[in-house]
Amino acid sequence: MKKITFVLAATVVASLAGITACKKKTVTETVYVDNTPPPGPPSLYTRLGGVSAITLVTDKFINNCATNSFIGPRFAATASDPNRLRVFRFNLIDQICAGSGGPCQYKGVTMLQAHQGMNITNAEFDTLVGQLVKAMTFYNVPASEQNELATILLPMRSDIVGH
Amino acid sequence: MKKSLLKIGKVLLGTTCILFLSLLLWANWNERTYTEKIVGDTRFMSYDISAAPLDDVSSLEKKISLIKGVSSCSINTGTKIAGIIFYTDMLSSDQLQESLTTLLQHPVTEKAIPVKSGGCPVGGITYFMLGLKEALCFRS
Ligand code: HEM
Repeated sequence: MKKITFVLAATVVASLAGITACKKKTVTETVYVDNTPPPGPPSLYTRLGGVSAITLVTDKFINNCATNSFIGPRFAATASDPNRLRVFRFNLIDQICAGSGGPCQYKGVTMLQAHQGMNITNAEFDTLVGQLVKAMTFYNVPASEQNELATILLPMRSDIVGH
Repeated sequence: MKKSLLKIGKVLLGTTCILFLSLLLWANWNERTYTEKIVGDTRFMSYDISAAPLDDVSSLEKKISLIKGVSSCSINTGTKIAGIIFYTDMLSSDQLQESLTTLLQHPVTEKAIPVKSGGCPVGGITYFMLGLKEALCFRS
């Protein structure tokens, strides 16, 4: 009994120590992320409108893909499971945010790993890109910013198609 | 007999507590990402809106997007399905369906999108564990 009490107490202390230890990090990182002025011309991230605008476009993009007759069935299982949608959506937001020079960090798997075994075709890839363009147009993202984002994402084709 | 049952009970209770505390520790170990801190959680629902007039889909999508708590709406005019992504802390699926019925002045019913095999190969247990992690995480 004494042993169990000791193990329990040790676990509680370890839990609290772990939680408070990481909490310190939060403050430093948030300050760094929010207060550093961007050097030079505004990044694509800033011109797109930051995380809130990227989230709007990403949600519209996911929705366009899920309801599309051709590629929708690929995304149906992801969209209908809230936990799965959460991971996919946050990874996509982080990918666009980080790729455009924002403060996010992409924590998902590589594009090759994410699409391995799906046998995605070029036609499906083009349809998906079309849905992204549609989402950006819906929110009046200027053509120059649309092209810049496409330049970041299009080279991923070779890692996504045919695996 | 009574003594050993009591002992087993204590061991089981101890193990459960340790398991729960370990889960709690795991769920709260990592700091939330920048995005997780500022972007809310959403759900996706799809509805059959074939009873509603679909002559100006773009403005209908915009109108639906303006429902409080809705993040986006996409309508497929072929299948007459409206996909809606909404914030779960602002809107429930019942409230959403009610708002849609009022806005469209036609009854809408839930309609799932057919699933194609060859989606993500990762199993459902992974997402269940990630959902559990999120539920147990109290870091802001
Ligand atoms: C430039 C194009 C694309 C980008 C940037 C992209 C990005 C991503 C990202 C970030 C993930 C999540 C990875 C993770 O969870 O770690 C993902 C998963 C996925 N992608 Fe793509 N993708 C692209 C093209 C496609 C295409 C063309 C399809 C199919 C038509 C597709 C279908 C999927 C599916 C089904 C998943 C798994 C979702 C889940 O985890 O449930 N993707 N993609």
